[in-house]
Amino acid sequence: MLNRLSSFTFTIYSLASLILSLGFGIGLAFSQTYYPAIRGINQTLIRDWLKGPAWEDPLTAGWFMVLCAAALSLFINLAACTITKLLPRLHNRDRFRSALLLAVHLLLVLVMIGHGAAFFLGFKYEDIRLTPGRSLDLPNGLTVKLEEVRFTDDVALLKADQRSARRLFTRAAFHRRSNTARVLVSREGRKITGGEVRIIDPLKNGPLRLTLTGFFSQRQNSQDQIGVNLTVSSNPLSWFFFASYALLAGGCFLLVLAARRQEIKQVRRFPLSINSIYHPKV
Amino acid sequence: MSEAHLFWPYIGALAAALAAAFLAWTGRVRAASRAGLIGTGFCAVCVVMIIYLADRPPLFGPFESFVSIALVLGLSGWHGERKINFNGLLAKRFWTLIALLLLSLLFSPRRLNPDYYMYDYPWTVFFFVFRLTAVAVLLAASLYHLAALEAKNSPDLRGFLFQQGRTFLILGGAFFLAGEFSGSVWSLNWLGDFWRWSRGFFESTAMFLLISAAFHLPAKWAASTTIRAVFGAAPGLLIFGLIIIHQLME
Repeated sequence: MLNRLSSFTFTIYSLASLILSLGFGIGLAFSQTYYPAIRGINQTLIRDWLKGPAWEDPLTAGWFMVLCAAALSLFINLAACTITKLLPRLHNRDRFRSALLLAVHLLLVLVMIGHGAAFFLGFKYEDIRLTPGRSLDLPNGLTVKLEEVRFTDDVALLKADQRSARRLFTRAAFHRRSNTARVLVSREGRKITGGEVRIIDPLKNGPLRLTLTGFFSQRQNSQDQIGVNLTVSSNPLSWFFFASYALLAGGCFLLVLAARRQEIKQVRRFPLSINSIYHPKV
Repeated sequence: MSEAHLFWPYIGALAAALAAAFLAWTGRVRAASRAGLIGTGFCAVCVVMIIYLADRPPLFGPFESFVSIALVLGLSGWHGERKINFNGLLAKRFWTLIALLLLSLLFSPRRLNPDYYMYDYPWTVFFFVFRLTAVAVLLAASLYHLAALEAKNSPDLRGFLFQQGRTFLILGGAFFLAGEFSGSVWSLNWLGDFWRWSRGFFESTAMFLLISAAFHLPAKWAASTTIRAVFGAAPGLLIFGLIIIHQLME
C-alpha cells in the first residue's frame, strides 16, 4: 500500500489533479461572475470562510474542496515517498545528493503544513474601511480605531481606476513613507497596540499585524474625506512558513550544485570528445 | 542620458542576435557563438542603462523584461556551446529565440515601465528580478529539452542534453521559489497575508507544480524521449506565455 502511495504514477496524477484544479481556479478568478467569490476567500481565515460565506457560492466552495483533496493526495504521496524512497537512498554512494533530496522534500512537507495551518490558526479580517475618528468592532472582540490620516499627495490619485493605478502611482507622485495613518487596537477598552502605519510598513505586536493596504477618498459635506483600508491578521506560524520556504529555495540552489557535479562526471565518462557524437546526416 | 539612448544598444543587440541566428542555421557555430556574445554584451549595456536611468533593475514591461531575459538566455546559450560543440543543436535555438524576442520589441514602444511606488521596496524588486531570471533559465531548459528531441540518432548526446536541461530546470525552479518567497514577504507586509486567493497566485503554484512534474515522471513515461522533452520544455514555454499575457493585459 505504502509503495503504491509513494509511486511516481501517483505523484504525477496528484500533480495533474492539483494543476487542473488551479487551472479551474484561474478560470473562476477570470470570470466576472465568480471573481467576487474568489476574492471573498481572502477576507477571513479559511476556517471562518467555510463556516458560512463559502456556501453562498456552491461552485467556488466545491472547487475549493476538490483543490484541498488534490493537495492532500500530493501531501500523502510526498510523505510516503520520503519514507519508502528517499530515506533508504541515504545509504547510496552519492550521500550529499540523497541527503539534499530528502531535505528538500521534507522542507516542502513543512511548507505545505505551514500553508495548511494558516487555514485554521489565528484570525484575519480584511477590507476594514475606516475614516478618521471611526472604529470597528471585530468578531473576535478586538476594536480598531482610526485616529488620524495624513495624506500629503494629490487626492486625485485616489480617484483613479485600478487599471491606471500602476501608471499613476509613481514614486514621484505617491510618497508611501509620508502618507500615514494613526490607529489604535484595543480589547474591551484596553489598548493592545497602536501607532502609525504606512503602506508596506505594518504595525506589529507579536503575531498580530495591522496592515494598511490603501487609502480611499470619499465625498462628505461637499469635501473630500480620506480614509484607509486595513487588514488585521494574526498567524502564529508565519515565521515557521517563511523559515521553511527560505530553506527550501536554498536547498534547490544546492541541488543545482549536486546536479552539476553529476554532469561533470558524465562528461568525463565519454572516452571521445562529445564533439564527435552528433551526426545529423547519419 | 535619456530613454531615447536605449535605442542604440538595443539595435546592436538585435543585429548581433540576428547574425548569430543566421550563422547558427548555416552551420557556422563558432562564429554564431561570437556574434551571440556581442549581442549579449549589448543586452548587458541596455540593462546597465536601465539601472542608471530608472534607479532600479529591469522589472516589468516588454522592453525591460525581454532585454533582461535575452541577457540571461544569451549567457546560458553561450555557456552551453562554450566547451562542447553541439553542432548547432543549441546555438540555432538559443540565438533564434533571442533574435525573435528582440525583434518583437521593434513593434512595441521601447520605453521604461512607469516607476511604480512599490519599486523602492526591496522584496518587490527581488520578486520581479528572481521571476525574470527564472523565466530566462526555464526557457533555456526548454531549449535543451527541445534540442534533445532532435538528437535522435545519438543516445549519449541526447542523454547529456536532457541532463543539462534538467540542471537548468532545477536552477529555474530555485530562482522561481526565491521569487515566490520574496513575493510572499511583499504580500504579507502589503496585504496582511503571505498567500492570496487570486489568479496570480494560482498561476504561480501551477507553474511550480509543472516544474516538479518534469522530475517525477513514471518510468514508462520517462523512457519516451518525446514525453520527457515535452515535460521538460513545458514550464519555460508556459511561464513565458504567461508573462506575455500579463504584459498585454497591463
